[in-house]
Amino acid sequence: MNENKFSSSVSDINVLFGLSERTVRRWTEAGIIRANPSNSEDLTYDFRALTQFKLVREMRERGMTIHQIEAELQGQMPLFVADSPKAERISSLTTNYDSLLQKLECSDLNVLVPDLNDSKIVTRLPLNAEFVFYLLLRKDERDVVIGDLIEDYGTVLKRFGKRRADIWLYKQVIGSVGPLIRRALLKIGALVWLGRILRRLVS
Amino acid sequence: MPKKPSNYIGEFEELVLLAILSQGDNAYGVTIRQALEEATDRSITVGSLYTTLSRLEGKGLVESSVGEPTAERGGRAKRHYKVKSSAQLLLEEVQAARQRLMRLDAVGGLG
Repeated sequence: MNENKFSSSVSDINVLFGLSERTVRRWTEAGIIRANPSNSEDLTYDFRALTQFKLVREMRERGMTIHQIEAELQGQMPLFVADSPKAERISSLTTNYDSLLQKLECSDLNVLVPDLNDSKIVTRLPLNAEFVFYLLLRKDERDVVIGDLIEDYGTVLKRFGKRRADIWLYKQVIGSVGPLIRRALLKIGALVWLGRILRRLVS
Repeated sequence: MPKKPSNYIGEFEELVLLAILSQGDNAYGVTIRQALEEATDRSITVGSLYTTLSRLEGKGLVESSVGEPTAERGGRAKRHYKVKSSAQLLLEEVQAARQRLMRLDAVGGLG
């Protein structure tokens, strides 16, 4: 990595992965992602660092803290095997962003990092699903229901893979909205009726 | 808010009560839902299950206790359910009524 054919700036990372400059700098300073060696203030990153940004972002989305990610990365290193022919081929072949991104999206990462996928433990639901339950469930039910879903999701994930598990989860969430809204409406309806009766009694 | 037991239960409520009974001490959301899905061949959502469970609890037919949090649940606690003895009596009554009606139906069919 002396002469980098490929180098991305902080603002490139921002465009590619939607990460803020502060986040990029923080992760670099935490030693999770390695910037290209340089004398100037501006940080640049090579292809391997890019794939790592994607990975770390996914881990963050799964609710892991920076410390946990650091530990995991160290435990599971090498994430990017230097003599892996695939990694070398990709980084030597590609110079433009689009084909690079395409490769990233085509889950070449999975080929590079098989260990991580096997040890995937889901600890949180996607935020939009959690938000639906946050709105519609009672406080004491929230953790229980979300815990159930996470446990079941893990089972489906193990048996049928991520795609089926995601579909299963969304079916559960969408199917749950109906009964939960009905319950909320019934409660509101009951209150309204009670109010009417009380008003009649008073007047 | 457990009140005095209601003496009316719907079809799904009856199935949920039976599912809880079938799971013994290990009756919580996941196992209850699995038992229901296997027995009825319908897909049951957590939303419909928990609205029913809270309704049953409101009717004073089941009681629940918070269990231990586990890693596969993302560190969230389980809630174990238990059918109260009043509900077991109610279930027996419902079954008996059903059988009486079926006998009536058979008698009517003969006549």
